[in-house]
Amino acid sequence: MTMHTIEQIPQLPVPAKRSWQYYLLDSLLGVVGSLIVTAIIYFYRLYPTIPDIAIVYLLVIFPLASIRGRYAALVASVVAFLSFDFFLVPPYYSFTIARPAEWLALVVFLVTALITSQLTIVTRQSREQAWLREREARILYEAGRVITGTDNLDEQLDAIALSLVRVFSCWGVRACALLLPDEKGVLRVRADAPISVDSFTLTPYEMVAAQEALEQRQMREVHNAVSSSRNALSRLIPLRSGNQVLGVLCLRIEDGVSWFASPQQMQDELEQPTDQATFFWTFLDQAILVIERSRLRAPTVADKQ
Amino acid sequence: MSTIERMLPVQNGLPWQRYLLDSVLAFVGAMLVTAIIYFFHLYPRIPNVSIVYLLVVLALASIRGRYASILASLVAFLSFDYFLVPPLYVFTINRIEEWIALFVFLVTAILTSQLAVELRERANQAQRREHETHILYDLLRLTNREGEPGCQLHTVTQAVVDVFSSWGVQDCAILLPDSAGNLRVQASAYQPVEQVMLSAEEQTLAAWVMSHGRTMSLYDETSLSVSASTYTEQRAPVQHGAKERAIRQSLRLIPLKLGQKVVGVLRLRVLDQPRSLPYEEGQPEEHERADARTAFFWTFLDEVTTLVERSRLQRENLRIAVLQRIDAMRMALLSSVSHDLRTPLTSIKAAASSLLQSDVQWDEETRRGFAQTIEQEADRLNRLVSNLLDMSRIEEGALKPEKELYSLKTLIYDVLARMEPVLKGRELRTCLPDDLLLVELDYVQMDQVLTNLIENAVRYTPAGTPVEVSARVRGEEAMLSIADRGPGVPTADLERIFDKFYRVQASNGQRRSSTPTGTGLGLAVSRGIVEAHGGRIWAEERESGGLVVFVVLPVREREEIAQ
Repeated sequence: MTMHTIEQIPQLPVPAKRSWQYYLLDSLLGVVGSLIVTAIIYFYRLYPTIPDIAIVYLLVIFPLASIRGRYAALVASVVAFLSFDFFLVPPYYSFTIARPAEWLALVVFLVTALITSQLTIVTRQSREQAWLREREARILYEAGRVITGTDNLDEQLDAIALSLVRVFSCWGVRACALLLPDEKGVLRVRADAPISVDSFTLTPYEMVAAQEALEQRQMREVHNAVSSSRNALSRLIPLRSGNQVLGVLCLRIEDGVSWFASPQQMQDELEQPTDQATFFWTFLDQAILVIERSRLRAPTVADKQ
Repeated sequence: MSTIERMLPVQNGLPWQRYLLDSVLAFVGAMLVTAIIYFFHLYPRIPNVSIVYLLVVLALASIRGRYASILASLVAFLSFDYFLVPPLYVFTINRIEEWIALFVFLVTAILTSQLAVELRERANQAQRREHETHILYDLLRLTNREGEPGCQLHTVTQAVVDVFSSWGVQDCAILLPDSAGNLRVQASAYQPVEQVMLSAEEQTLAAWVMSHGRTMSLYDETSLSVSASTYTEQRAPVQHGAKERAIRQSLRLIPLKLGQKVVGVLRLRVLDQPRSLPYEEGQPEEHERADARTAFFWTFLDEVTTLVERSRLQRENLRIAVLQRIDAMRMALLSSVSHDLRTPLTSIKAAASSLLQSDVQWDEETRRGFAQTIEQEADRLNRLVSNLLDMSRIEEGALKPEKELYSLKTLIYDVLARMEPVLKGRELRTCLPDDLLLVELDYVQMDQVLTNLIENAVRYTPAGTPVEVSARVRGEEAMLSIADRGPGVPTADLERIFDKFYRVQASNGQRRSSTPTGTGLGLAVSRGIVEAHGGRIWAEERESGGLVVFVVLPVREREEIAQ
């Protein structure tokens, strides 16, 4: 198995953090888009010549809703409403409106703009959701193909470790090791990732926590003293198959996503799993299935005799 | 197999019902808005009230698609003109501004609705891709669950039917070449493999598909008219009974290609819907409508092919692993048997030769010693041969104990007495209560079990260490145990020591004992005999070192025995 094979597995998308720059750009697009339409109507004197000319604002609001999202569409709608009132509805250059009919027209416009942009946003979110689900299914499928591409348990464990780090790196997973008990029940590192010159060594605290995770069948967490990051921790997850614990997964996490880095949230996720958590446990279940199958293979050979 | 998703039914173009529904929704939606504006006199009181039509247009664009939204835009445009723009109830418009306003509305409505349709199609596309990827993942997951390659193939056939049942696929079978190159059914979705009979015609066509890598259809003549012209050169009639003919179905034989290599043939029983299932990859007529559906079908088949090949390789690997193990066992048996035969034979030969030496005058005690050696070694040979014969009888299921009531205590003392020479130099500790019940057993066979266990306790423990034999009655069971103070057996091997030819390996991979080893049959034979008696046998490590082997035999109630 080569790194090239592992690189075929897609990665989870980095969770989008909406920074102030993002909101600034949305605001600019909303304001500029609506003002351009107002300027065109103003300079060509399209209102009140064409009474329903405000509908043209929708050609700006609608693409903003589908491309940039709710905030940009909202800004554009409000700016359109206000600029139309300020520049085009008499008395000009003030936000007051003389005729109630004009008021009504503007409110109808604003409500329609908000409803249609909301409709667009729902469709957009449904597309994004489907894309994310597709990506997750693709990851599971490709990882499954790579892991089951060999019958050799050691190669399979390597593939599991490498794909875990590749797929979940955006959640803060920097390194991982798969520990399986030997004949005497002592945990040994059977595979680790990423590939490095130095072999993966567990700290004594990690080793104790791993043994506890194996015996008590519960997740354990220790502060990762090896890392320079303040938000570094090691999570020890028992690989459970029914009532049996096949081994322990050690994940070294730095600046992880909140649910993944917090023991309490992770425990909550176990009880009421969200999509993210479900995906993680499904991925792990696949790995456990492969390990279990390989372990069952030896007795099968014996039985065949 | 219940968790794999299905493909959505094929839609060969939009059916007229769908157009009708779209038309009704568009018309009713637009006219409803017109009616509200008309009855509440909202126009021209609210000059841009026509914008409200967009709510209907966009909702239709998002839910129903392009046709409905464009139709709604046009109906809105016309109805607004007809009912609301003066002069009323005619399609003429007096003022040019009204014309422009209506035109701007129409253009905006169509543009925004097209944007919405585009967005909807992308969302649908993403959902379809997610659905398809999920199906591929499910296929992989379900086959991974199955340990046996044969079960994996069965899972694959079931998945093909489950996924494409909405496309007319009713049954599926996988044909793979056997060692002679003849195609054999290896898995079928709904029938046991033995019951799937291929006609001579099917065999011939499947072989053709295998060698040429092209799809073939076996069709029912009664349904030929549907699309015979399309695939004439690759279709051949198949004979069906009158009952089958009425169903209108065809068989499709599709090559499972891995690159240029054909690894097998997929046999699909398809309802005769020629346009439902893609015919062949690369067919020109398929290219013309090479939609995502076709692409997915071939991607799915590629995955099926990979799984079939993987299953074949696994089976091959398993066969090789089994052969290697059998070979290793044969070697172990040969080595053990030759060693175990040679050792007593050498002793017998030496003792007999010494006795026959005419130039040496042996005193009575020495002569007796030689005779005892010959007897002991002959017994050892006898036990070895008995074990070998019993093992083969156990494996054939021919070992039937001839049970009679015996005293367990008597049996144990008899065996210990006979094995006195073997136990020489050992401290023998027995714990046999006086009230040991009579147990129904085959005396000869249980004698052999006890002999094997005591011999093992002596053979694998250091000289001078004690051997403990105890027995007791517990409820309706008699429990017998033979314990030693030897090196014991690792926990992981406690169950496997009862496998035939199994030897405990030392941690460095060497055999555990340097003393003469047995054939690895004693415990296996003992387990076979005990289980034939309806009992159990197992081994446990002793807390302070050593091994104890327990034998439990059922004891019948006194009343039962009396009867």
